[in-house]
Amino acid sequence: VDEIGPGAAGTAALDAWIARREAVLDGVRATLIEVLHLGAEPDELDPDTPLFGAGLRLDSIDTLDLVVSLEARFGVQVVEWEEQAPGTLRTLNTIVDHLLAAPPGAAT
Amino acid sequence: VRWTERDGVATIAAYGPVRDEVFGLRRAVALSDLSHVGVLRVSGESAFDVLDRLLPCELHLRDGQVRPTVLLHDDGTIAADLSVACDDEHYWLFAEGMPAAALAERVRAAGLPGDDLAVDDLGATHAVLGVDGPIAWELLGAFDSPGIGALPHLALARLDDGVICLRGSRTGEYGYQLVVPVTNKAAVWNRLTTLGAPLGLTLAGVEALEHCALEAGSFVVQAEGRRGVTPLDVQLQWRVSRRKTYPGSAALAAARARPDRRRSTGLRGPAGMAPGDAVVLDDVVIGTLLAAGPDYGIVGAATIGAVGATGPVGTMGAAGAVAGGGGGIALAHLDLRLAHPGIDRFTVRTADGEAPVRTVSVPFVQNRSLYLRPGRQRPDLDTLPFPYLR
Repeated sequence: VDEIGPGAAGTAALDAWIARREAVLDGVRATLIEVLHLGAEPDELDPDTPLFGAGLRLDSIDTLDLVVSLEARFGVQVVEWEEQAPGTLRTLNTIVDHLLAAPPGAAT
Repeated sequence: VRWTERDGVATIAAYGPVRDEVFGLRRAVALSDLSHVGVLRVSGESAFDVLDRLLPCELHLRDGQVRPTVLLHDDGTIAADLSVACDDEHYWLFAEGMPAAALAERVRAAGLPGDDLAVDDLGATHAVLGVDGPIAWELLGAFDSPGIGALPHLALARLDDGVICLRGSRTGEYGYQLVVPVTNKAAVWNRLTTLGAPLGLTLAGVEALEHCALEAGSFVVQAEGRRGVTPLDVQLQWRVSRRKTYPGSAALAAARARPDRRRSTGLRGPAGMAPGDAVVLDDVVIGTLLAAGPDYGIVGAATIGAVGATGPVGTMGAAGAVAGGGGGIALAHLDLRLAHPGIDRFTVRTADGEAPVRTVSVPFVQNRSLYLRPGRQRPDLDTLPFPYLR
């Protein structure tokens, strides 16, 4: 996961990194609201909300729609995440982690 | 056996080393005595209306459906961790964080004159047992029938001999709570331990269950829930509605508008972290720890062998090497702007001094349950990926 570490100088770097993470999080929230027809405000979706079981209670059809929509919005191969590392689609934050870890330019 | 108290009830904290119980649960299946879990049966023509006034979740449930929610104080802070279920005759409330008698009083107080309402506290007549782990479904299937092992998540079913089974878990693994008539408790316990022995059953106390919940990123009312938090603070908005009025709803609406909000975020750091420790950025306190525990993580390991006499860490199968352990995991309550994973610019002021930490996404573990499906032939447990991969 792309991180802001002790080597980064000053608050400007931290602010820039947080802004980038929030932008990706906003995109994930918008995708979920659209795909699941949630009728919710974006800030109702906490970043650590579970996607399956409890939380948003996605089923297999929802998951397929979500994967397709994330791939279209962010230009990454989300389906490969689950093949290589099951469970990466667990919360909004774990999706953001993987989008930020995608090749440069894939998640902006 | 070491004892503790939860919600005014004496309960088992641990049967032995908590780490061994955690690993036993994560590896196969664990059995727990959940005598502190309150169970209320709410009946009558007014049951829906009364509970709908009191509870913050949307209450339209199908028969057999279970919904996690919370009970709030008027100031929006969490009073109890609840699951509400319905069958064709009753609503059921499963509660932690508040004695069942006090919860029953809150329910009755939400009634209006003339309401048809009956609230029964099953504490004197029933016990609650917990079965959790990646093959918990296999033990439940042997105990009752294969179908009950495949009960959908957040569903309720009636079994033989007056046993009620709720599927739902805070550990991230398959989990079931059995509400058992006290007259049958010993027989059910003995049968589960007998059937579970060949599966590698572990007995787990509440400390192991609460640690597993911390690892899973699940709300623990006995930890962060004791620090005066609202659902906004601990990312539980999915358990409350914005579209109805209930005790605490006005306070939550006001809290949403506050510029100084905080939000829970996972941390990895030193072993000495404790609830209440300050989180610091450039000598400015930006939050506090809500909950903390040891990090049993194993980094770089693909599989783990059987739990050995020295404990699971250090008893690896051939495919991996132990690198984890020794650190800590925590849930921090951080200024909203900074409450994001992936930052290692913060420090925590522990009793042993100030130490660097790194914010991470929860859950802290990758559960084995992700690799298993009830009803399908399962692989040998020793060939499965072990959960501590993150």
